[in-house]
Amino acid sequence: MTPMLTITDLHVSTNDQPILKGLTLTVRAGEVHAIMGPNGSGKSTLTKTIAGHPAYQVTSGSLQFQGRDLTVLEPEARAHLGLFIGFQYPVEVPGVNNADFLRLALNAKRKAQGQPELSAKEFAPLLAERMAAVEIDPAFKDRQLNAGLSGGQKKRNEILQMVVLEPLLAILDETDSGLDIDALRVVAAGINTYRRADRAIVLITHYERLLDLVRPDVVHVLAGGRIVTSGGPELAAQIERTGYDDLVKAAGA
Amino acid sequence: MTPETNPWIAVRTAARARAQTLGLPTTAQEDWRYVDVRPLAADPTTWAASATAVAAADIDRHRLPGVPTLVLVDGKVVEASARYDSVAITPLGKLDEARRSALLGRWMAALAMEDDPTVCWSIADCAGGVHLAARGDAPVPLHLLVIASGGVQGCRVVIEVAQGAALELVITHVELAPARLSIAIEAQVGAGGRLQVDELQASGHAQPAGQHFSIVQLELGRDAQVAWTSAAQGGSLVRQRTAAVIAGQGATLELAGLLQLAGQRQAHVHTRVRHAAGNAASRQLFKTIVDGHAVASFDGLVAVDVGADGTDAQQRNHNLLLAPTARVDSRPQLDILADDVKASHGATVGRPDPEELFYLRSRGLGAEQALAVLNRGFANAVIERMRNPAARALAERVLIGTLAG
Repeated sequence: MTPMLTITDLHVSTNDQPILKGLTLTVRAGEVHAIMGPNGSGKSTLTKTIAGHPAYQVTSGSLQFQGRDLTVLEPEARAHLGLFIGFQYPVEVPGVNNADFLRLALNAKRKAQGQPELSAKEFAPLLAERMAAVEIDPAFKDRQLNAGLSGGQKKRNEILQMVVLEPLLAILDETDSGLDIDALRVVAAGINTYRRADRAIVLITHYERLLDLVRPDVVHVLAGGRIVTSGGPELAAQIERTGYDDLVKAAGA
Repeated sequence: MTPETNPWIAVRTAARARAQTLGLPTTAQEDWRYVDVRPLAADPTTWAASATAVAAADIDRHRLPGVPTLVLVDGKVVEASARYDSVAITPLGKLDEARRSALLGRWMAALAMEDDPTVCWSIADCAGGVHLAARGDAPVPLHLLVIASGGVQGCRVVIEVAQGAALELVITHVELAPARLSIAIEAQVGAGGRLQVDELQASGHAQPAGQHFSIVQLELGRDAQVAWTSAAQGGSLVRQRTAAVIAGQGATLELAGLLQLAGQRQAHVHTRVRHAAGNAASRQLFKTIVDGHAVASFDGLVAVDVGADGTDAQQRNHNLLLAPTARVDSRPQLDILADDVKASHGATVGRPDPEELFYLRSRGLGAEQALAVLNRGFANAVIERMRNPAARALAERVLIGTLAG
């Protein structure tokens, strides 16, 4: 079966600075991958490149989603295919109502997939159900999109967007940072519920604590713009104990 | 009454004379500095005009659900079937002698010192108008539907909110054919009185050839509360001039406006808020979205008189430029003569934030839809101040409805 995400020898620059230098990664349906790595290793560049952020240029290599070349697609087209990025710093969009936005986003995707759009009346129960599933206060639907929310609330809002949009592949960039332990448990539960044989998840994180709650199938270490080593969940525990330095040196990166 | 003894004609003649003395405004005048005055050179009397062309359907189309309508067509009250205990509606021509003399006396005195020709036009071209007197403190919202059939039109609306009374108005301006409209609304709000106005200017025809001059004069007594929110689409030349005098302590004035301009439209906001009494608050929030070759400006002044201590004045103007060919000027000003005053002003001009656009697109919104959502978010701070739900819905539909996606 075609993998969900296939990245081969990917080189990416921003502001003419090469950041990713030959990154290779394959993620299949049903898998949960974790990517860990020191600051500045290229983790956020990877997520923004996959999302199609205009400031990041693919200079060589390939980036495919279910066998389709992502690099030629606009960000919205990638979302319509079933890609979702939970951003490290979700952008505040003042004046935009959270529930209205979620419905617009879901309808944009449904329209692209040839499904009928949902009316506000049809969408309301779906939203209520998803909000309950990720334990978000119903009052959130009337808040502005991320504006005025705390860091932790923004991250939870990203998870809400994920469960509403139901992507095939969710890449969550440091979704655990800024969360207290209770919020982390809720977010982890949301991710675990979301986990399914036909979906894949990539967790980008600094901390093992999320990986204790969401057990990954594969753990990768990203350093210097490349995956330098990969292993099972025990790799995350090792990083927690000894840090990245030895691993990165051993890999000769 | 013969024309010689008709006091209305006398004041209109005086206004016309004053307008002729003043001539057309030029950009050399400080108050018109940012306005493209070229449309004024057109002769509006050549524009098609006929009050009889206004059909019942033209009126019905602009009614608001659940809000009783008071219809003015070319200044004449054509429908005021709604009768309330809380507001007395009187066409200006039917005012009692005492009110009429007081009003005309005031206009005549003001004309002598007036240097804005649009104010003179509002009297010179005044074919009618209406007097609204709020008496009760439990207002039923009233929709003042101001329809211009085209050509040269003047109109005056006089509002009296007695001590402790309240009035809620929705005002919509509809231009059926290109017109030069000068509409003056003067309101006196007595001690503890409340006035809430949601106002919408939109052109009812495809050609934005119209010129619309709005003149709002407000006087606030002790503890009076006035909230005035307007939304406008612009025309070949739209100018909204608001002059407010806070004459009583403890009063609160909130002015908010949204301009959404595209194509060749222009609109200009000109505010003068004078704190003549202390311990009062004024808030101004004006936002503008300009696209295409549109031109907009904000020229606002807050003046605090000697002795008006305890004043709290705030003035904000935020502008969103969607095209490099659009133009916006902003000039917030403070003139403070009292000692103990809290006053702030600020202005911003920006383009849509690329990070916000990207974020929305990463969630599946197309580029155009994402921009529309951002615009709507920008406009929302003003729209949400409209208190009447029907007015708010109309403003959303007319101004940003196409952005809803």
